[in-house]
Amino acid sequence: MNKFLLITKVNLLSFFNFGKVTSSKYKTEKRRNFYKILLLLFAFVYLSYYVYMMVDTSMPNFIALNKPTYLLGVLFTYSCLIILVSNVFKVKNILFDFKDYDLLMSLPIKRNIVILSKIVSIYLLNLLYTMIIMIPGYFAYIKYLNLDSSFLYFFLIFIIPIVPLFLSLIIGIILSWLTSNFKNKTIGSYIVNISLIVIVMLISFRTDSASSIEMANSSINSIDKFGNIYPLMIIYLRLISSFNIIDFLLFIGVPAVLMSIFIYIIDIYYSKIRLKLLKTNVKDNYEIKTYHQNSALSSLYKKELKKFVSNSLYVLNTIFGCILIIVFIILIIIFKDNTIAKLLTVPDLGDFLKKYVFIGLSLLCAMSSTTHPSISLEGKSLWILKSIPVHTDTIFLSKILVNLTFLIPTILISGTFFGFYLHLDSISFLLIYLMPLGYAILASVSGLIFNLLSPNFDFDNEIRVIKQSLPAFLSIIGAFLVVIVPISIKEITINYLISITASIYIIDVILAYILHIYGKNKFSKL
Amino acid sequence: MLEIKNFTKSYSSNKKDKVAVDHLNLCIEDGDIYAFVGHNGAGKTTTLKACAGILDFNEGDILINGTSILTDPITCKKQIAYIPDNPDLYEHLKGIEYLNFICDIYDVTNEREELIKKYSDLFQLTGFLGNTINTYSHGMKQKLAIISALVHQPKVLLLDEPFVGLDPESSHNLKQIMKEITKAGACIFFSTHVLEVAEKLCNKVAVIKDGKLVVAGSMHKVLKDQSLEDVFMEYMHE
Repeated sequence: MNKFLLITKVNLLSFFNFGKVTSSKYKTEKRRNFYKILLLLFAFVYLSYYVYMMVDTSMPNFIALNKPTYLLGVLFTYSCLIILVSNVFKVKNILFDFKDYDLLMSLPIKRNIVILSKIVSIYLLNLLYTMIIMIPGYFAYIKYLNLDSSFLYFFLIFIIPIVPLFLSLIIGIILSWLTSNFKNKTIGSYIVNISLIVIVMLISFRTDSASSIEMANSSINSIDKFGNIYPLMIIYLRLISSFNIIDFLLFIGVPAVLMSIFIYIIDIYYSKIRLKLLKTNVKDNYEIKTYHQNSALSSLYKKELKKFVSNSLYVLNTIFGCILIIVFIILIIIFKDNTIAKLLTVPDLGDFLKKYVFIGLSLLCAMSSTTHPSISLEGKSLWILKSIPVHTDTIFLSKILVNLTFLIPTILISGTFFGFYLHLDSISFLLIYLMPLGYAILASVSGLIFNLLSPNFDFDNEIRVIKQSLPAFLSIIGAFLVVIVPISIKEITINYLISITASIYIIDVILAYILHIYGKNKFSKL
Repeated sequence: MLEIKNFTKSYSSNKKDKVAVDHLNLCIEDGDIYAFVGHNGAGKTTTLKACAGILDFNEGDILINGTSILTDPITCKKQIAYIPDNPDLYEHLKGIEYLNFICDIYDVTNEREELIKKYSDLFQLTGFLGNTINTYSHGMKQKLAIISALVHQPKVLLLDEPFVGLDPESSHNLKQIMKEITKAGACIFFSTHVLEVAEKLCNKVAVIKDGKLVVAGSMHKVLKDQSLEDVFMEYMHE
């Protein structure tokens, strides 16, 4: 037990990096880590507030339909879906390809203890997600109605993540197994990951928030359907309405049994699964061929592009918006206006798009930054960039070009489609290209600046710098601010959009200058 | 030629500066194989990184064939090859892609294929160049790092523990190459903990302790009648 607690403690300390706040030798690093924790707390509070407001707005509709506990069912469903989706891609790293594998396996500790400690660590993280959703939901709920079993409600929060986590681990192993059969594992990984995300999106369309009676009704129907495939949710709803010992035992017993069986089976087949998932195809018959000379920029760009496309997590977490917009266009072509309008709950798709397409495309470009983790992702191989005879600006440009390689075609395709689809006049047609392009450049340059401000070369998993870092947070918040603030100040007219676009290009020039001066200096000190 | 003039590097920690290397002066002339020895944390890697233009420094200057790395780093880096103590390369690239990347950056146009073939054959890596680097063992990565350093025919080679991870044959081949390229006019400045290798291979040696140079010069003058190990131990316990 002591060994289990010790490994779990080390896992958690390494995951949250709390140790760095107190133990770091350097004051600046200590301060930076402190700010990171502050930002995490801010995100925690903000998300909790968002959930509270969502429940607060929807609650009267559920009361009107006489099914108030179903709103807690909606939160339960969200928690389960988030846990299910967010862990699927991590399974391979969590259970089979963790950084300290060699060290832990060489210690006199049973393998099932190591597996259990890894699962408990990820469970605790998922418990945090569940708390962010379920605790504010509770407070919004009791504002309207009494909940007899408050203690039970809080106790059950600890049980909720177990089954979705179990399912996520199973699906993750199956997907990794399937991916390992592809000759080109990266392509395989894309096919599998994108398919899963599309399925989840289709499901989530059916469990939307309920700010009107009609939507509340639709959510209740969805919850009933969800209960048919996931009976624990029905048991949960019954339990929080009135305590029943059989339901209670079922609710805690089923997850415990499932997880125990999982750990038991994984322990038996661990080596086989690990070998299969980490299998690599190695050849020893390569022959030197003629190669054409490239410029330094072109060579750096190719290297950067290869790094990007070879990492499906990097792609899916940075330019997924580009994939989404293309899917959206295909959906409009296939399903026509009415279906999409219904899906988006807008009366007329054309009117809606005419008003929001510029903002939508701009937001998408502003949020799609491949540059914000690009310096950190150099990791321990940063010495190569620092020792080669290439100007720092060329290195920055190669990273910016990778972002634009994906954003410019997206702007051209979507701009041309919406231009013709919405019968835009010539100025608007030009603007539908120029405005998102301005934001694309802004995202690319500011992403690099954010990363230079807070680089992290000492990560144990790339997802840390791609998704869970200060530059990632700043990029998303910054994107919202630069797109949403201007349109909230004044009514959207074409002239106003032109002014915003001009301002964005001016900001682009200023940021490029800052990157040239400050960025170069900062890069030399890394 | 590599000249290190009054080189000082310090790291700040809690408002206090910790001096990693203190006013170091060294001159590595063309044709030299110069060993740089010292205990762990003595400042060897810091010095080598600064010479390669990777690390900023507080005081002094480093000249590569008369050009300062501070004022004209690009010209200097074109003449340098650096191999770190741990070969962290671009894991997502194939071995051959990494070598071509280096050749593109250093403008290796003539005899590119011949040079790649020559060195990868010598280190028995040619057949594996079509695999991505993440499939390589530590030794294979070290070999690739060495090949990438040699293909652009540098004038100054900065090597941090170059023999770690190499099999005996590759280790022998590397020593031969070091002799050949210094004979052709290049110079090599390398750190090592294997004192026997340094003693046999190098014509000059520098010993560093706590960031300060304790002795430097031609091998026979430093050693007199002793072994490098004895000399090293004497200085360390002074």
